[in-house]
Amino acid sequence: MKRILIIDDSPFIYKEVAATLEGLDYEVIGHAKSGEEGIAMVQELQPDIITLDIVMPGIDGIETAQKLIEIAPNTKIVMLSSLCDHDTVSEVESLGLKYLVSKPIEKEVLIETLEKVCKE
Amino acid sequence: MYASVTKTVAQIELTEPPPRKKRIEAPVSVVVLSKGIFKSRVVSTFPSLLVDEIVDRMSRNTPLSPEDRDAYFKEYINMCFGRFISRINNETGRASRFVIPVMIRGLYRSSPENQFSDTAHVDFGSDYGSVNMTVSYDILPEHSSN
Repeated sequence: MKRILIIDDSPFIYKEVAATLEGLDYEVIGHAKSGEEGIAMVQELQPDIITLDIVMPGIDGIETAQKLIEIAPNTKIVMLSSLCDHDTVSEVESLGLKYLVSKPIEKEVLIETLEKVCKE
Repeated sequence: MYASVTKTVAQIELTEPPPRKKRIEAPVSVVVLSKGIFKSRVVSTFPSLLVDEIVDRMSRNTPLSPEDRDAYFKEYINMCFGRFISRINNETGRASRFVIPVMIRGLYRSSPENQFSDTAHVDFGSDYGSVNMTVSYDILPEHSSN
Protein backbone atom coordinates (compact mmCIF):
# COMPACT_ATOMS: atom_id res chain seq x y z
CA MET A 1 0.00 0.00 0.00
CA LYS A 2 1.42 3.38 -1.06
CA ARG A 3 1.48 6.09 1.61
CA ILE A 4 0.32 9.52 0.46
CA LEU A 5 0.74 12.95 2.03
CA ILE A 6 -1.55 15.75 0.82
CA ILE A 7 -0.10 19.28 0.91
CA ASP A 8 -2.91 21.71 0.19
CA ASP A 9 -4.39 24.61 2.15
CA SER A 10 -7.90 23.54 1.14
CA PRO A 11 -9.89 21.13 3.34
CA PHE A 12 -12.09 20.47 0.28
CA ILE A 13 -9.18 19.11 -1.77
CA TYR A 14 -7.94 17.00 1.13
CA LYS A 15 -11.37 15.41 1.53
CA GLU A 16 -11.80 14.96 -2.23
CA VAL A 17 -8.45 13.22 -2.62
CA ALA A 18 -8.99 11.08 0.47
CA ALA A 19 -12.49 10.08 -0.70
CA THR A 20 -11.20 9.28 -4.20
CA LEU A 21 -8.53 6.95 -2.82
CA GLU A 22 -10.72 5.22 -0.27
CA GLY A 23 -10.81 1.48 -0.87
CA LEU A 24 -7.86 1.63 -3.28
CA ASP A 25 -4.30 0.60 -2.62
CA TYR A 26 -3.34 3.93 -1.06
CA GLU A 27 -3.19 5.18 2.50
CA VAL A 28 -3.54 8.92 3.12
CA ILE A 29 -1.15 9.44 6.03
CA GLY A 30 -1.49 13.17 6.55
CA HIS A 31 -2.64 16.60 5.47
CA ALA A 32 -0.34 19.61 5.55
CA LYS A 33 -2.01 22.98 5.03
CA SER A 34 1.11 24.85 3.91
CA GLY A 35 4.42 24.24 2.23
CA GLU A 36 6.30 24.76 5.48
CA GLU A 37 4.13 22.24 7.33
CA GLY A 38 4.43 19.84 4.40
CA ILE A 39 8.24 19.90 4.46
CA ALA A 40 8.22 19.10 8.17
CA MET A 41 5.72 16.28 7.72
CA VAL A 42 7.67 14.74 4.82
CA GLN A 43 10.77 14.51 7.00
CA GLU A 44 8.76 12.86 9.76
CA LEU A 45 6.43 10.58 7.79
CA GLN A 46 8.51 9.76 4.67
CA PRO A 47 5.55 9.24 2.33
CA ASP A 48 5.85 7.39 -0.98
CA ILE A 49 3.82 10.01 -2.86
CA ILE A 50 2.96 13.67 -2.22
CA THR A 51 0.11 15.57 -3.82
CA LEU A 52 1.12 19.22 -3.80
CA ASP A 53 -0.94 22.35 -4.46
CA ILE A 54 0.73 25.26 -6.27
CA VAL A 55 -1.17 28.32 -5.00
CA MET A 56 -0.84 28.38 -1.21
CA PRO A 57 -0.24 31.06 1.40
CA GLY A 58 3.41 31.28 2.45
CA ILE A 59 5.82 29.41 0.22
CA ASP A 60 4.06 28.26 -2.91
CA GLY A 61 3.97 24.76 -4.34
CA ILE A 62 6.80 25.32 -6.80
CA GLU A 63 9.21 26.44 -4.06
CA THR A 64 7.96 23.67 -1.78
CA ALA A 65 8.61 21.11 -4.54
CA GLN A 66 12.18 22.38 -4.96
CA LYS A 67 12.82 21.83 -1.25
CA LEU A 68 11.10 18.43 -1.21
CA ILE A 69 13.21 17.21 -4.13
CA GLU A 70 16.31 18.03 -2.07
CA ILE A 71 15.19 16.44 1.19
CA ALA A 72 13.22 13.47 -0.17
CA PRO A 73 14.56 12.66 -3.64
CA ASN A 74 12.85 9.26 -3.75
CA THR A 75 9.39 10.55 -2.93
CA LYS A 76 7.18 11.04 -5.98
CA ILE A 77 5.39 14.37 -6.34
CA VAL A 78 2.09 14.97 -8.14
CA MET A 79 1.24 18.65 -8.51
CA LEU A 80 -2.45 19.60 -8.22
CA SER A 81 -3.50 23.01 -9.47
CA SER A 82 -6.16 25.00 -11.23
CA LEU A 83 -3.25 26.80 -12.93
CA CYS A 84 -2.59 24.81 -16.07
CA ASP A 85 -1.18 27.36 -18.51
CA HIS A 86 1.95 26.74 -20.59
CA ASP A 87 4.22 28.65 -18.18
CA THR A 88 3.06 26.68 -15.15
CA VAL A 89 3.48 23.38 -16.98
CA SER A 90 7.01 24.44 -18.04
CA GLU A 91 7.84 25.49 -14.49
CA VAL A 92 6.71 22.12 -13.15
CA GLU A 93 8.62 20.24 -15.86
CA SER A 94 11.77 22.27 -15.23
CA LEU A 95 11.84 20.75 -11.74
CA GLY A 96 11.87 17.30 -13.32
CA LEU A 97 8.28 16.65 -12.28
CA LYS A 98 6.06 14.85 -14.76
CA TYR A 99 2.62 15.08 -13.27
CA LEU A 100 0.27 18.04 -13.01
CA VAL A 101 -3.39 17.24 -12.34
CA SER A 102 -5.77 20.12 -12.91
CA LYS A 103 -8.41 21.24 -10.42
CA PRO A 104 -11.29 20.64 -10.12
CA ILE A 105 -9.95 17.10 -9.82
CA GLU A 106 -11.46 14.48 -12.05
CA LYS A 107 -11.31 11.29 -10.02
CA GLU A 108 -10.40 9.04 -12.96
CA VAL A 109 -7.53 11.37 -13.92
CA LEU A 110 -6.13 11.36 -10.38
CA ILE A 111 -6.32 7.57 -10.09
CA GLU A 112 -4.77 7.08 -13.53
CA THR A 113 -1.96 9.51 -12.67
CA LEU A 114 -1.20 7.75 -9.38
CA GLU A 115 -1.15 4.40 -11.18
CA LYS A 116 1.47 5.80 -13.57
CA VAL A 117 3.50 7.12 -10.63
CA CYS A 118 3.42 3.72 -8.94
CA LYS A 119 4.62 1.97 -12.08
CA GLU A 120 7.75 4.15 -12.34
CA MET B 1 -14.62 29.80 -15.86
CA TYR B 2 -17.48 30.11 -13.37
CA ALA B 3 -19.80 28.01 -15.54
CA SER B 4 -17.48 25.02 -16.03
CA VAL B 5 -16.10 24.87 -12.47
CA THR B 6 -19.56 25.31 -10.93
CA LYS B 7 -20.92 22.48 -13.05
CA THR B 8 -18.01 20.19 -12.14
CA VAL B 9 -17.90 20.74 -8.38
CA ALA B 10 -21.54 21.53 -7.60
CA GLN B 11 -23.55 20.31 -10.60
CA ILE B 12 -25.25 23.72 -10.84
CA GLU B 13 -25.83 25.21 -14.29
CA LEU B 14 -24.87 28.86 -14.68
CA THR B 15 -26.79 30.17 -17.64
CA GLU B 16 -26.75 33.06 -20.08
CA PRO B 17 -27.01 36.41 -18.38
CA PRO B 18 -30.50 37.41 -17.29
CA PRO B 19 -31.36 41.13 -17.09
CA ARG B 20 -29.08 42.63 -14.41
CA LYS B 21 -30.93 42.94 -11.14
CA LYS B 22 -30.32 46.05 -9.13
CA ARG B 23 -30.10 44.12 -5.86
CA ILE B 24 -28.66 40.74 -5.00
CA GLU B 25 -30.21 39.23 -1.88
CA ALA B 26 -27.75 38.82 1.00
CA PRO B 27 -24.74 39.41 -1.22
CA VAL B 28 -21.35 37.79 -0.79
CA SER B 29 -18.58 39.64 -2.63
CA VAL B 30 -15.29 38.20 -3.76
CA VAL B 31 -12.42 40.42 -4.82
CA VAL B 32 -9.53 38.94 -6.77
CA LEU B 33 -6.51 40.91 -7.92
CA SER B 34 -4.07 39.77 -10.54
CA LYS B 35 -0.57 41.03 -11.17
CA GLY B 36 1.82 40.74 -14.05
CA ILE B 37 1.12 41.69 -17.65
CA PHE B 38 -2.63 41.27 -17.01
CA LYS B 39 -3.27 43.61 -14.10
CA SER B 40 -6.83 43.37 -12.90
CA ARG B 41 -9.37 43.61 -10.15
CA VAL B 42 -12.31 41.24 -10.47
CA VAL B 43 -15.28 41.81 -8.19
CA SER B 44 -17.91 39.07 -8.18
CA THR B 45 -21.14 39.32 -6.23
CA PHE B 46 -23.01 36.12 -5.36
CA PRO B 47 -26.34 35.67 -3.60
CA SER B 48 -25.71 33.83 -0.32
CA LEU B 49 -28.28 31.22 -1.37
CA LEU B 50 -26.03 30.22 -4.28
CA VAL B 51 -22.89 30.28 -2.10
CA ASP B 52 -24.59 27.94 0.39
CA GLU B 53 -25.79 25.64 -2.37
CA ILE B 54 -22.32 25.41 -3.95
CA VAL B 55 -20.71 24.62 -0.58
CA ASP B 56 -23.40 22.07 0.34
CA ARG B 57 -22.91 20.27 -2.93
CA MET B 58 -19.11 20.40 -2.71
CA SER B 59 -19.32 18.85 0.76
CA ARG B 60 -22.09 16.45 -0.28
CA ASN B 61 -24.16 17.92 2.55
CA THR B 62 -21.62 16.93 5.20
CA PRO B 63 -21.90 19.37 8.12
CA LEU B 64 -19.02 21.86 8.07
CA SER B 65 -17.86 24.52 10.51
CA PRO B 66 -18.38 28.15 9.39
CA GLU B 67 -14.60 28.38 8.82
CA ASP B 68 -14.61 25.29 6.62
CA ARG B 69 -17.63 26.58 4.69
CA ASP B 70 -15.65 29.73 3.88
CA ALA B 71 -12.59 27.62 3.01
CA TYR B 72 -14.66 25.49 0.61
CA PHE B 73 -16.04 28.56 -1.12
CA LYS B 74 -12.58 30.13 -1.35
CA GLU B 75 -11.29 26.95 -2.97
CA TYR B 76 -14.15 27.15 -5.46
CA ILE B 77 -13.08 30.71 -6.26
CA ASN B 78 -9.41 29.62 -6.51
CA MET B 79 -10.38 26.94 -9.02
CA CYS B 80 -12.41 29.43 -11.07
CA PHE B 81 -9.62 32.01 -11.12
CA GLY B 82 -6.90 29.45 -11.74
CA ARG B 83 -8.75 28.51 -14.91
CA PHE B 84 -9.37 32.18 -15.77
CA ILE B 85 -5.76 33.31 -15.36
CA SER B 86 -4.48 30.21 -17.18
CA ARG B 87 -6.55 31.17 -20.22
CA ILE B 88 -5.32 34.75 -20.03
CA ASN B 89 -1.71 33.54 -19.76
CA ASN B 90 -2.06 31.27 -22.75
CA GLU B 91 -3.59 34.16 -24.75
CA THR B 92 -0.95 36.74 -23.76
CA GLY B 93 1.94 34.28 -23.77
CA ARG B 94 3.12 35.69 -20.43
CA ALA B 95 2.58 34.62 -16.83
CA SER B 96 0.25 36.71 -14.70
CA ARG B 97 -0.72 35.52 -11.25
CA PHE B 98 -3.75 36.10 -9.08
CA VAL B 99 -3.51 37.09 -5.47
CA ILE B 100 -5.38 34.91 -2.95
CA PRO B 101 -9.05 36.02 -3.05
CA VAL B 102 -10.74 38.10 -0.38
CA MET B 103 -14.34 37.22 0.56
CA ILE B 104 -16.65 39.85 2.03
CA ARG B 105 -20.14 39.34 3.46
CA GLY B 106 -22.02 42.25 1.88
CA LEU B 107 -21.35 44.47 -1.09
CA TYR B 108 -17.81 45.51 -2.03
CA ARG B 109 -17.56 49.26 -2.45
CA SER B 110 -14.72 50.11 -4.77
CA SER B 111 -13.03 53.49 -4.66
CA PRO B 112 -14.56 55.98 -7.08
CA GLU B 113 -11.23 56.36 -8.86
CA ASN B 114 -10.86 53.48 -11.25
CA GLN B 115 -7.16 52.79 -11.69
CA PHE B 116 -7.76 50.52 -14.69
CA SER B 117 -8.28 51.45 -18.34
CA ASP B 118 -10.97 48.93 -19.22
CA THR B 119 -13.95 47.40 -17.50
CA ALA B 120 -16.17 44.50 -18.52
CA HIS B 121 -19.33 43.20 -16.87
CA VAL B 122 -20.41 39.58 -17.04
CA ASP B 123 -23.52 38.16 -15.40
CA PHE B 124 -24.62 34.57 -14.86
CA GLY B 125 -28.02 33.24 -13.88
CA SER B 126 -28.84 30.14 -11.85
CA ASP B 127 -31.76 28.60 -9.99
CA TYR B 128 -30.28 30.15 -6.84
CA GLY B 129 -29.91 33.74 -8.09
CA SER B 130 -27.57 35.71 -10.32
CA VAL B 131 -23.84 36.32 -10.14
CA ASN B 132 -22.53 39.72 -11.21
CA MET B 133 -18.89 39.99 -12.18
CA THR B 134 -17.01 43.20 -12.95
CA VAL B 135 -13.54 42.89 -14.43
CA SER B 136 -11.40 46.04 -14.37
CA TYR B 137 -8.12 45.50 -16.14
CA ASP B 138 -5.04 46.71 -17.96
CA ILE B 139 -2.87 44.68 -20.27
CA LEU B 140 0.57 46.15 -19.68
CA PRO B 141 3.39 46.36 -22.20
CA GLU B 142 5.68 43.33 -22.04
CA HIS B 143 8.57 45.12 -20.30
CA SER B 144 6.32 46.30 -17.45
CA SER B 145 5.78 44.45 -14.21
CA ASN B 146 2.80 44.73 -11.85
